[in-house]
Amino acid sequence: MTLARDTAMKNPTNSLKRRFSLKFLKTLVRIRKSRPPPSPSASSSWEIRWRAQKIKLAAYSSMALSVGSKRTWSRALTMKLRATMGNRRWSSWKGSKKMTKRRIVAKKNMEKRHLEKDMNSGLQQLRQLVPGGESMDPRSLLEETAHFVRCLETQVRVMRSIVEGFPC
Amino acid sequence: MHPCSSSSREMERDMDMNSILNHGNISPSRHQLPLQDLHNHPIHGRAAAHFDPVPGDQEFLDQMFSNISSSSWADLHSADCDTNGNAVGPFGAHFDESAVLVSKLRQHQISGGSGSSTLAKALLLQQQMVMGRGFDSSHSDIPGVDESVQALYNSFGGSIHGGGCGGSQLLNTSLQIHHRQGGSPSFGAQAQATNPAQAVSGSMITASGGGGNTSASQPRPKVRARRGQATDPHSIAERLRRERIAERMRALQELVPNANKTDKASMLDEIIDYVKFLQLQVKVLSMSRLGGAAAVAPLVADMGGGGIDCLQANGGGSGGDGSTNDSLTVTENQVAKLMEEDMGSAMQYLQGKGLCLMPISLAAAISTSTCQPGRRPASTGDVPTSPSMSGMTAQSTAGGNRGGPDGSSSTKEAAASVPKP
Repeated sequence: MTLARDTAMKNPTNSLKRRFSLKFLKTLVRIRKSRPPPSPSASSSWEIRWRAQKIKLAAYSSMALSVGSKRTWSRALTMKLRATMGNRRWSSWKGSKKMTKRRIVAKKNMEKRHLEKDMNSGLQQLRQLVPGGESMDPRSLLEETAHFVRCLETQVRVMRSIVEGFPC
Repeated sequence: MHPCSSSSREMERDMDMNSILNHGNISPSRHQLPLQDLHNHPIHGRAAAHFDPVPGDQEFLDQMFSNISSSSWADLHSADCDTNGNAVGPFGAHFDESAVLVSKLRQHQISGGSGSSTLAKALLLQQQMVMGRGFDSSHSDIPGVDESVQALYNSFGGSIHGGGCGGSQLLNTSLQIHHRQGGSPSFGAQAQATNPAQAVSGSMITASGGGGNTSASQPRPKVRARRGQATDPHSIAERLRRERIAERMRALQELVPNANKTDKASMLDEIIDYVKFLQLQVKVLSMSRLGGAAAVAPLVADMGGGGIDCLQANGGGSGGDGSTNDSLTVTENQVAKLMEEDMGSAMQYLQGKGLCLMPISLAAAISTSTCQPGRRPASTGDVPTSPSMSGMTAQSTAGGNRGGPDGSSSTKEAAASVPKP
């Protein structure tokens, strides 16, 4: 995958990987620090699940942050994460207003254009999967999906290498 | 901004037609007069101007929409198929079909048909003309009607052509059909005349609705060529849009590991599955970091054995929590049952879950190769009670996963978390 092609297609490059890894590791360290003193393996499943959720959020947020606001999905994801973490400073009401307007326009466009039914349902599912996808026309939705898939792959690769690389 | 402007006009027209539809029936004996009226009101400019409710026009339109029955669109299509001169039925059928056309037109407008409303209106009027002719045959006033109809259609043709649809030529051909019939009062001839007209109308509507797809093979080649011209601006826009979408789909397809592009819908499903799979991997990897088979147990119990089956405990290596996984045993049992019947179905079942079979020795080899030297491989340490399962990490199995079914070995292993090829 040449760099030219990446920039042409607006795909994540190696620099993204580096950025993501750095951010993610920092977040992990922070999580580990805030972790209670290492309990025996028989920790409650609830606690484990909660911690896993935190790590997952950390992964997604560091990914979204390293992508920045260049992409719709990263913007949407960032806002959603910030809302989840209950941060009032970045309250997303402004963003959601924009989203609703765009959503209305997108719905109108969808009604006008006669999309095939099966493609429609598939696109609907994609909208639910990709963050911020509810208010986008099909073409940009597919583009966002492509970028999102690449970022997810990067994320998975980094996480795997971390998991594999550390001894028990 | 063509579609936007036409859509607003369509809304207007919609309301007009709805109001008109609510009027009562008007006796059909007043056919001729409104025809002349319409002829006298020269129709030019955009199509919307035609159908503003001028008093004479309104009565005319009332008659058009009188006696609306609710036959189905299928009837009209069957009329299309009978285009080779077979009379569709008694003359009453014509009424029904025009009524169907009216209702379809209304629905089409409501759904925002792309600028075909003018064309559909023209066709509607044409239908009415034919019906009018049928009615008036007894009055033997046909030549007058013909002239008015001819003039009407010419003006319509001009206006519609200005409006961007090439349906004028279409109408002219149909008009010529009518005239070729010699204006004879026979219903049969008119039936024949209407059939190609209806076929053309049906095909025109479907074509304009469907963006130029080859919906009708029954109209004559002349019509087909014109249909390409007729829907040009809209079909070009449609085509461009579809091309752009297809381009993005192709780019996505290169990303997703499954490369056989059959059609858009299945490709989209593949993409969706792949995104779900990636998200699941992130979730599982975030779990695994915490370590311990106990971490894995609730995860697997959640998923019920689908997807990633079990994950090696890297962070902890702490042993065999034997609470592994009722879900795994369920899968095991099912696979055993399937294997008794048919090996192929068992393999398919496993692959559907993202697993595959491999001999124990291979699994052990893989697990030892990927483990750090200082680390005890999980398979030897916390071997679960059922000897036929071993846990592998996602990555390690990605490499060596093609262990096919080993028919010779009695005990088989299922390896976990195959990324779908």
